Amino acid sequence: MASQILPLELIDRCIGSKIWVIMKSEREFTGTLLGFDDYVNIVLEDVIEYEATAQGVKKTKLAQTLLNGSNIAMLIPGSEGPDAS
Amino acid sequence: MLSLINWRLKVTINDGRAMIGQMLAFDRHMNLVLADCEEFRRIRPKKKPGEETAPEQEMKRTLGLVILRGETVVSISVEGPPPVVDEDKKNALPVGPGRGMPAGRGMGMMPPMGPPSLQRPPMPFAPPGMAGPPPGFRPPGFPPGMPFPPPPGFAGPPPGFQPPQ
Amino acid sequence: MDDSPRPPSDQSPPPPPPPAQFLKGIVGKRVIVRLTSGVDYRGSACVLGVFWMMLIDAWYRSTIEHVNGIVTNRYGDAFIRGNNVLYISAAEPM
Repeated sequence: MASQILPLELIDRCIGSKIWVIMKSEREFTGTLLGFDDYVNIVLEDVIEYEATAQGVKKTKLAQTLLNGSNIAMLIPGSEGPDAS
Repeated sequence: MLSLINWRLKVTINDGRAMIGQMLAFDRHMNLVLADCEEFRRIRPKKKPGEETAPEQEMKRTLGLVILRGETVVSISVEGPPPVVDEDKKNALPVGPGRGMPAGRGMGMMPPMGPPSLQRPPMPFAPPGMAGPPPGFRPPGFPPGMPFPPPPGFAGPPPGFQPPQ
Repeated sequence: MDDSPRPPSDQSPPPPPPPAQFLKGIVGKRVIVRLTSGVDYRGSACVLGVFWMMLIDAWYRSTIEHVNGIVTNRYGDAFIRGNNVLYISAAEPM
């Protein structure tokens, strides 16, 4: 188990690269990870917000953004987001 | 949790999604790292006026390597055992040129022989059901008293050892 | 791992985590604040309370409330409790 990497270490290694953030609700973000804190509040740059609405997925471009960690469900490192997969 | 590492797990999270992936790591918050992760969501389409119940759709997405926040985890169940890829690799290793023999203090340089537990006199007779090689079929280089050649890697009885006739 | 004690001159406090830096940097700038309910507030960040690195509350000046992109309210000062915030986004270069 010496080579075991902790989940938060893995996020730390993603700093500077693209990350896909999936919130607890039907909302997702992609952007470049600038950093995070102990609560996994996340700062992203060049962000696209994906919002599931009745009319389809609504995309919003945002500049530097601080995401509240308490609404984050999942983080997918190195991913361009829902459009890529 | 430690015993579930590398297992394929199904993790239900508190917005109703289910994530299936191989758990590579976890921490005290129950944050999980899931490899080859797939997401399953139940989507209930808007009920139309004429319909009694709208059919439930299951949405599946492949997400890959996912870090799941422990705060969202509702339940974890085992979906499958760890993949056996590592075991296969171990077995696929070519046999190296080394050999195993007992060593250590007081052992000195022993003639190559099996480990002590394997030491036993050569079988004076063939095991039941095996008549031994018929006369004339003995492999060359072995005395007639030796019923079968030693396994590869063992050089046979030490010098001076006479199998019982 | 370097466990040897460092000379005192090197013992500067570690930099604050990026979320705290972001909150410091955003003061006085125009921001978009989206709540978990989907309501947007646009305004200039005035004071941002950071407590245990958690976003607790914030004052904004000349705040405009948007619901689904439609202006629903205009406030002078607004006080938003951090637990309702989904994100804070910079609306001008930082």
